[in-house]
Amino acid sequence: MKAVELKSITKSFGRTTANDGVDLDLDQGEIHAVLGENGAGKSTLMNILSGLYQPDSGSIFIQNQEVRFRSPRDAIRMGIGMIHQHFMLIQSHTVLDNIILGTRLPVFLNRDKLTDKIFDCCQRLNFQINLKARVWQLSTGEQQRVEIIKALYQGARILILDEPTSILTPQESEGLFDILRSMREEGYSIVFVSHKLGEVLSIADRISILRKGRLVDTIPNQNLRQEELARLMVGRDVALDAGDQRAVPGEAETILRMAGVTARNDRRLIALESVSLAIHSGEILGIAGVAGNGQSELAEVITGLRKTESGSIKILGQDVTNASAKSIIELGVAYIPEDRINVGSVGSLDICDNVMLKCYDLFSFLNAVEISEYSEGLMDKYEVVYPGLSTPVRHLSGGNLQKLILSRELREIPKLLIAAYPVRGLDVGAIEYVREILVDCRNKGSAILLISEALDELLALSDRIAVIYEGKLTFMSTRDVHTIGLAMAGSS
Amino acid sequence: MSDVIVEKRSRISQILIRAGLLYVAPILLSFSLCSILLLAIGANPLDIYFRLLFGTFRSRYWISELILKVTPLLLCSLAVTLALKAKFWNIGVEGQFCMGAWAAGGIAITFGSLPGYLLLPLMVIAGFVSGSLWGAIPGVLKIKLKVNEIITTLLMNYVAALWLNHFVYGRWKGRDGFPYTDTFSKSAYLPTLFGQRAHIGIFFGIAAAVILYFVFERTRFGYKAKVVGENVKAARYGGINTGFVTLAVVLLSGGIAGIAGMSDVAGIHHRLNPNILLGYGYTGIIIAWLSKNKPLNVLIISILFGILAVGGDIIQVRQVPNAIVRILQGTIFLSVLAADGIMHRTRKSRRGEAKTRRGELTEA
Repeated sequence: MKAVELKSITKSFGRTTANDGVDLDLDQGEIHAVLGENGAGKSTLMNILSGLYQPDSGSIFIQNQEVRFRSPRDAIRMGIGMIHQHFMLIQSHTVLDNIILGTRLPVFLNRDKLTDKIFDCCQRLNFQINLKARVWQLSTGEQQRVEIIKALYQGARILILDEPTSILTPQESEGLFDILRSMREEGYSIVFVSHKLGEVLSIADRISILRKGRLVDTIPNQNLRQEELARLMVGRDVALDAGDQRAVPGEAETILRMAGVTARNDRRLIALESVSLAIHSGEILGIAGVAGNGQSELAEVITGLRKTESGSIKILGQDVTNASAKSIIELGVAYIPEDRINVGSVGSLDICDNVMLKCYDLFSFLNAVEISEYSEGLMDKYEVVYPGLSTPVRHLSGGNLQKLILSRELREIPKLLIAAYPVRGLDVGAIEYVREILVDCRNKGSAILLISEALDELLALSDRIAVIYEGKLTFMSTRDVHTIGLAMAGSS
Repeated sequence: MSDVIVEKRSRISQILIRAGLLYVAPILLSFSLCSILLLAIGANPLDIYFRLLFGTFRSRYWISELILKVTPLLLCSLAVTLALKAKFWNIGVEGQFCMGAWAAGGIAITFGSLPGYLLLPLMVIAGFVSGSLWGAIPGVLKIKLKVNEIITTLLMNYVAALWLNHFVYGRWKGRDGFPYTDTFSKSAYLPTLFGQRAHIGIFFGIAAAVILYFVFERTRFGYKAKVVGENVKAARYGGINTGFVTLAVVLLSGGIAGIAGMSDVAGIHHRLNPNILLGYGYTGIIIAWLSKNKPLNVLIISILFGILAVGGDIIQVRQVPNAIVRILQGTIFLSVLAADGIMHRTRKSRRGEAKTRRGELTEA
């Protein structure tokens, strides 16, 4: 008996068909990977299975019984739990209060009794977690575990994990895989959504590949190679690793020099602790680390968006400590922000308005024709696909939005480029493209600070690598993945 | 070629259907709801509505009254619209109007002997400056201390009204001994139009609408204000001084409201008294909202609201209380609001976006 069967699921949004007759089945006690590029329809399919969306046609069977979900609540009642990429936890509440949220609660809460009950459940699966801790005190990996327990506590027998490793260190990912394996032993069925080939190969029993809304194939994970999977996923041969693209060291001008910079985050806690670094022209400095260890603050301090407590920052020999963002932009500093939707662009405004965001000074009076031509030129150069120049950019896909931001930031070769997670959430084709552009900039003499969570990418592109952990920067003398991974987790 | 025409035609019909659903249907609904009230007081709704809507255009006098009403409505709703472009909720237009009137009146009383060509510009400047300074207080509080401007601007309306009272009950009290000032000297009167009560204040309104349209479509400052309003983080990222832009927008908004106050006292009342505050500042918020924040729409909707206001006076002749106009305005606002909400929701759920969470892209 199958745990879940999806039969010819079709779902369209306007003219786009996100899922086109997709079949998927899940055995009892199986880890089933769903692999596909961004826009392949993975999330839509999972949102249908978890009750967020209703399919246009097709049917869902659970234990051979046809079901119809009208809301996520219906799906939970049928034992389907979804772990979203972005956690749905209340930071200021305790772990226990987060876990019992969304379940039917008695009028009077007996927290001790609930604690015992959840503790048993944790024991069985080898979870170690302090139920009384507040969520904000936990690491990302631990928060993910809270999400998993929460789903199990709500009675989930089928667990969907949406890109679960994107925010974990290599070690934390291994920890997650151990948990998933022991859950499989207990008879849970797991859908593992990912676009990372390596981890899919290491954990899945079977792999379903989606491409452009259709199911390409479902194959058992036996004697598969990454190249085959990549071909199935993208539909053509792709160069998987970025190759070794390091620059030849030579005489170079120092573009950015930071000395003992300390800064606080939005919660007024120390986020950067006496960070010193120098980047030279024609060099990529890679910053590795788990998200939330001071990367955003580092980028913001350099670009003038965050004040420093102490220390100094010099760009091209000029002191820009606590200078305005505007004056730093004028020095030729480009910035690809981590959050391309809320920081890098204005969703409700059109392409022209977004292209202008860094160069409105070029136009004294805004001439619609002039601006359109300028924007069109940039869009063509960077191969952005868009319905029209007056389209609000929130309608662009992630990849195209990122290309738009690149086109704006790199309209002239920048002296210094701060690139924070530039390929996050992009599909394989777009990733290749963005990486090429970064290398091209570097070769033309830009100094680049590359912040990324993908170690293989950092290793391939960076000339030097530093690890950031709890606001402290450590330069790495080795390129060994294991050593760097340990530094990312804070142990040396 | 024919494809293009068909597409254009279908776009136009789409816009018409949208406008119909969003405005025409709710307005018809409001009129039919209010006709129940009219029937209840024994009036003929059709007759009353006809007079309400078209009575204005039957005589020169009523057209002049219309211009008189539209002037403050237009200026006040532009003030709200402008501030809203930078996402500043200026609920304080009423107070800024009041301070503009107070300052202009003060100039008129103090320098009454000056000739009109000096006195009137002086009053305009005084009205603008005091309106914008009154707006600057919540503006600075918001920028520096993140105090919610909806609360502060609203509360400062009451302060402004009391401030005005303090003067008309006190040192500016006129010779009659009643709580109003003496009538201004003739040089402080705004020139009238067509020999009726309407005055040239309407040109301030039209000029403001055109200038704002130009500023927001064609200038760098308008662009910056728009970015600040739509996404503060992106604005900061783009090197825009968000505090400065917000403050500039608030000063301008308060100033326009101040000019509305100035034009009302110099054009109609010709004196200061506590009854110059007729709620134009609040009606302005409704008009700004119904206009979807577009200066040129503001012009049209201000005129419609003016017609309703004047129509209210006309139907009083038929023994119908003009409160019916207030009820009608309120019903129209609520039903358009509801229609907008319903359309928004159906469109979203049709796209399947209703339940996607903040900050995530749908895969569509």
